[in-house]
Amino acid sequence: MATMAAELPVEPRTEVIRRAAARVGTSILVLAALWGLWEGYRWLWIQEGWTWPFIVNDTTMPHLHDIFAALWAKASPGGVGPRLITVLVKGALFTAKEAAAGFAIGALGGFALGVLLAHFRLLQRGLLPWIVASQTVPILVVAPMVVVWANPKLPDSLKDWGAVALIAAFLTFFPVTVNTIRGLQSADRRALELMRSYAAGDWRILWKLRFPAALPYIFAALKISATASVVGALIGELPSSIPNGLGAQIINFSQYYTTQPRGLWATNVIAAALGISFFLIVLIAEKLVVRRAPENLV
Amino acid sequence: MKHGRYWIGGVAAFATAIGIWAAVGTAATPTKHSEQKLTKITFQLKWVTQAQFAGYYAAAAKGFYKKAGLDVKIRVGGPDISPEQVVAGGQAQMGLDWLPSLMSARDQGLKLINIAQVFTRSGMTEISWKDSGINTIAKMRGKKVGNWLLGNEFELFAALARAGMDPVHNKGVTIVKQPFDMNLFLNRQIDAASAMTYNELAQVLETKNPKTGNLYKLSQLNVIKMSKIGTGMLEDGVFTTESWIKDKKNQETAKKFLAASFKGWIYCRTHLKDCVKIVLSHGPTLLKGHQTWQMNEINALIWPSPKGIGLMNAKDYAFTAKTTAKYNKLKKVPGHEAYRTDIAKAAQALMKKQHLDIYGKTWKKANVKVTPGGK
Repeated sequence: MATMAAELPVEPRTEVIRRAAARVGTSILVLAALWGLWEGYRWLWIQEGWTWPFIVNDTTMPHLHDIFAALWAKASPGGVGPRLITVLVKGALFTAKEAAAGFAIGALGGFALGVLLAHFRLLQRGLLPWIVASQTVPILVVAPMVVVWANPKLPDSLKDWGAVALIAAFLTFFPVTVNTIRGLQSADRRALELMRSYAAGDWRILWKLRFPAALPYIFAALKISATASVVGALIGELPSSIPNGLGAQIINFSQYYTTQPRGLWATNVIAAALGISFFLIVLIAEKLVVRRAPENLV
Repeated sequence: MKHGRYWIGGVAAFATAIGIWAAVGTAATPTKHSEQKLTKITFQLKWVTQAQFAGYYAAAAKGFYKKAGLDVKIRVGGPDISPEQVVAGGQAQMGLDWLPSLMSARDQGLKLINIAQVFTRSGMTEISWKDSGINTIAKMRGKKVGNWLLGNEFELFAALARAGMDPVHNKGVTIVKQPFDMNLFLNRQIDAASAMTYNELAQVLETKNPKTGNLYKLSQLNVIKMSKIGTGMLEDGVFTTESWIKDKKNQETAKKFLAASFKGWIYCRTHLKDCVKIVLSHGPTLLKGHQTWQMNEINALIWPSPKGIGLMNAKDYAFTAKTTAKYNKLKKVPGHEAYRTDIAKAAQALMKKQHLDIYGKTWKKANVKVTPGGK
């Protein structure tokens, strides 16, 4: 390994900076292009009076800068009270709590299930189809049932939001389980035989060989799960009568869409930002843990 | 060695996950219960926080519940929440919903019972543009008529049927499912739209006409009120389960709850602005102008209350029962067994002792100006 590393040309500092600048530049260009696309579409449709697929005006497609201005404006007009962004970020933090708890439960549970199924072939053959089937059940159906079942049994500190976390966990565990199984079975055969020849037990093989081999797979799953847990939390909030999260704001703003279209868009922006930050956290964790992520995975 | 590093990293990742779990778990430490003498009850609203429920929020904010010895938790509703299911499932002791919804739930076997009819009259209207000439239900023949459906359509259907149309089978009229917002109507994709006096009607008036840049005016609209044309049904009422209310102790609790809630509504009758403020404190993104309009219109659905707030009007009940049975295909027309008036009467007696005016005969609607965008 050391000799190979030495063969790589050492990049001069200016080169690194130039590449970083190029990356930032591309991101800005993409953002500008998206902005142009939105505003251009808007302008063209209004100009031509086209009504297909929908009538374009300030209500159906507000200016992007108006949406961001709405975020900064006071939530309640008259110059009093918090800014909309403050209200929404507070809601996002509450939803993040549910999503994070659900993600943790789902990831740990999903991993444990994956380990179990990877070791017992019979169990895997019997259970995996049902685990797949569980994900074909619409979450909108599962959510109210979880609320009705789990809520009465939860202690006061977990009431309402605990049930939402379980719904988020339901969306989280599946990719983790499936990828854990695949990852654990992806360990190098020769390495496995070597371990066996040293009389290593299953437990030792799992932690020393299979688990490290599975890590890239698991992180690929965690990245999917991270955003899914946010979606699960948002959907879970709807039947659980939670006024503090982003879900309540979504209902509220969709009701008043006619008069406050920017509010719903602003909520969308924050909800998207929440999902993206979950994804980024997992990405950073992956960069720290897996130094050698094969690019050809998922 | 290399594997060892992975191992530590992996454990660290999961430890962080557990850490987050533990942190959020402890972050939500239970609120302390210093006042243990208060009777705890949960009340399920029909919809998200808005002035439609101001009376209950006012009763909480003004300490009326506490004074009555109650610790009331108000649960908000939403599109996926059926108050009947929540109350039947024991997650709340009492709930608020339109009477037809309660009747339908009963018909499906839920043992629920109305104990107070808070709204005296219906807030449902069907609106159309004045220039369309559709100023009666009869003129909706052959037109596209909007409604939210899912149990909100009975009043409109009864009115259309009376005018000789068959809305159930789209004969003589085309029923269009209307979303929560009023865009279909504003864009003239439908000829008439359902609108509650306290919500959607205001939403239309708060919108600027893109052609003129001015707000739409009430004079540009035909507003056909169901309560005026005789097909109005009973809306917001308090209900509970038959088994819960059987208990004498719970009857006492319910009586106190109703009296305190009615007191909240009486407070809002005279303190419009204050009640709007209370509602806004529970919904920081709600708009003041819109909620002020709503508060005023909600008051008009309760006051004046000829029988005193909370008491069921048997004639209106019968019409609601008959219409719901017809359009929601109930197994039988709900009779007297779906409501009781003794608790509301006891609450009224309690309030009379406190010299509260439970009728509001002299109440007059305030003149609330519509604001652009509801601000």
